[in-house]
Parts: sequence; C-alpha cells; structure tokens
Amino acid sequence: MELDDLKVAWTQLEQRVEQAESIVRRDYEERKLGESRRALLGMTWGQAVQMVAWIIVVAIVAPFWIEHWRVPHLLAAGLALHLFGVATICTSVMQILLIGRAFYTAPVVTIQRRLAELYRFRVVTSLALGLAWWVLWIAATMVGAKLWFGIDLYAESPQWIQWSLGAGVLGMAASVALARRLADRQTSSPLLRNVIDDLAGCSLLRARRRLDEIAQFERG
Amino acid sequence: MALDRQDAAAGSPQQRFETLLNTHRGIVFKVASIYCRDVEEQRDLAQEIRAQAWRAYPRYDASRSFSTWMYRIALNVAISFRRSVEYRRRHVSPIDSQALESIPDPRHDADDRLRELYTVIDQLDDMNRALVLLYLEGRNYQEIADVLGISETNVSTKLSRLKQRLRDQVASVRPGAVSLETNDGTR
Repeated sequence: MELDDLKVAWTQLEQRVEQAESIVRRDYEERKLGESRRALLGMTWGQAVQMVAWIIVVAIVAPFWIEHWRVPHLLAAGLALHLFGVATICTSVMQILLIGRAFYTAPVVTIQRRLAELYRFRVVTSLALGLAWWVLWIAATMVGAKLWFGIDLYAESPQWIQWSLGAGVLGMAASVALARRLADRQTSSPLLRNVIDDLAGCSLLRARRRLDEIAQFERG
Repeated sequence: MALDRQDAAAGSPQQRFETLLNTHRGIVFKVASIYCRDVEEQRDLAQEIRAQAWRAYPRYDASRSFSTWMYRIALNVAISFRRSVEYRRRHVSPIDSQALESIPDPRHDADDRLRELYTVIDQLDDMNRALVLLYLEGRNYQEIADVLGISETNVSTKLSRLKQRLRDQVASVRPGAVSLETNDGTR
C-alpha cells in the first residue's frame, strides 16, 4: 500500500461526502448564520461581566486598605483581595482579547500553538485563582465585616481566623488529593470533569503535550 | 483563483460567501469526515466550520485563494473541535445503545480501500491528519505549506516519512508487497 493508493479511496469518499453535504446544508440554512456571532458575543459578555464585578470590588477594597494601612491584619486582608481582583481582571481582559482574535484564518500551526498557549494560560490561572478561594474567603469576610458592620473579626476572635486559615490550607491540599483520586473516573458533567482535570494536573499535562506535538510537527 | 475573484465580486456579502462556499463545499465535509467518525459529530463539525468561516468572512482578502483560506479555517476548527470539552463529554458520558447502533462505522465498510484509508488516518495525530488530507486532496507542496504554516521542505520530509511508514506497515503484514515510489515534490 502507498500513500497514493489511498487517493483512490479518497475519491470514493468524495462521492459519499456529496450526499452528506446536502443534508447539512439544509440544517445550516435553517439555523441562520447570525446565531454563531451571537454565541461568541455571549462568551465575551460573560468575561466582561466578571471583569466589571472585580473592578467594583477593587474600587471598594483599595480605599479600605489605604485607610487601615497601620493595622497589619486589615492591610493584609485588603491587599490580598485587591491583588486577587487585579489578577482576575487581567485574566478576563486577556481572555476577551484572545476570544476576539480567535479567527481561524491563520496557518494551522500558528492557530493551534496560540490555542494551546491559551489553554495552558486558562488552566494555570483557573487553578491559581480557584484554589486561592480556600483562604481568600476569610480575607473577604474580614474586609466586609469591618467595612459594613465596623467589626474587626481578627481583633474579636483571632483563633477563628487562624483556624479558618489552617482549614483553608488543608482544604486546598485535600481538594488536590481528591481530584487525583477521581482523575481516572468518568463523569457526566463537563464542568466537574474540567475541575477534576485542572486540580489533578491532567489539564496542564494535556496543554504541555499539545505544545510539544506542535513543536515537533514544526521541527520536521 | 479566477473563479474565486469572480464569485467574490457579486451580490451581498452573505450571497458572495454562500457562492464561494458552494463552489468549495467539498472542503467542509472532507475535513469533517477525516476528523470525526460518527455522522452526528460530522454534522456538528461541518456546521461549526461553516459558522466560523462566515464569522471570519469580513476579513477575507478576495485577491487570495479561497480554498487555502477555507482549508485553514476548516482544519483549525476540526482540530479544536476534537479537543473541545464538548467532544470529551460525549466520549465519557453513557451513550444510548440504540443511537450507537444507528451510527455507521466506516471501519466496517465493505470497501477494502476505504477501510484501509480510515485505518491509516486513525493512526495519525491531528497535525499529520491535516497533512495527509491536503496531500490526498491533490494540493501541491507550496499550498500545503501555506495552509499548515510550515516550510515546503518540511512538507516533503514529512510526506516521505509517512510513505515509508506505510511501506513498513504493509511489509510487516505482507512481505514482498511493497512497491517503491519516487518523491520528487510533485503530485
């Protein structure tokens, strides 16, 4: 068998393709082209809403930690929330820009490398930003309690904060360990599958494999 | 190319796009059939390719080849489609057994040649699948290099290696059945 022998089979495939093409063409005409543009607009909209929400949080938190800069635990809580907000805004902006540039008209190697890099970026940021919430909720509660109720939670009950921080660190480790145990199991929820793969490191490994595969293809 | 320019010159943008797509309609389905096995997935992928092509159409430069432009979109969308969460979800969720039975599996095709074609394609990764598809489509090395974004020398080297791999495969099953072929960079 030669690669050229496969061309004969390819010609036979072409005849079948003609039949299938006519069926899909009807589907396509019914759905209308504008729908795809609206779907992509929806993705950008989701990122934009997240970005605006975090801009509001940062705008509230920045004056808070400036006002309490002499109180170390309030400064730390405010700064942690502020930095997390800035990181989330940056990732949202980057994703909006990348979605906007996601036209598939460039050469295959260029686009696939860009998509693999975007995938790696999403995996790393969602892992870092997601796991941070195990302890970040404490900072958010401290800031909220002081800001809206005038209660300094750390001054009232330092043990509660310390125990919560300890539990948060344990929670981080436990969620990674649990994800590793579940990594080989099948799930019906794509969202849960994504979370498990991200936490277990499978997504990062997949991103690396994709980039390696593209690099190898380019090298020849 | 002349036809592309002629097609791209008349009517509203949507009409022009439809005309061009109709002229090159085979591209969408050949790519879909190479990257997906079952009919439903092929239909979804074909829809996605058409939708992405329409989305990118305002940026299409009518002085350039529509087929090259279309191959880039179709291959990029197909590779991404296979890697998408939706694709993985389908493969990890329980499948309705009745629906499964209704899907024709090309690997069980009565035609030996088609079966061999799918066997070869199944063994290739996504990038090499694109290379073989363009080769089988009769594109020259320059066009293949342009669509994929690699050098012509690289295209030539890769195709030579693929041919050698095929010969080795056949030689291991049917000793003496190997026919050598020259590779001068032309079709």
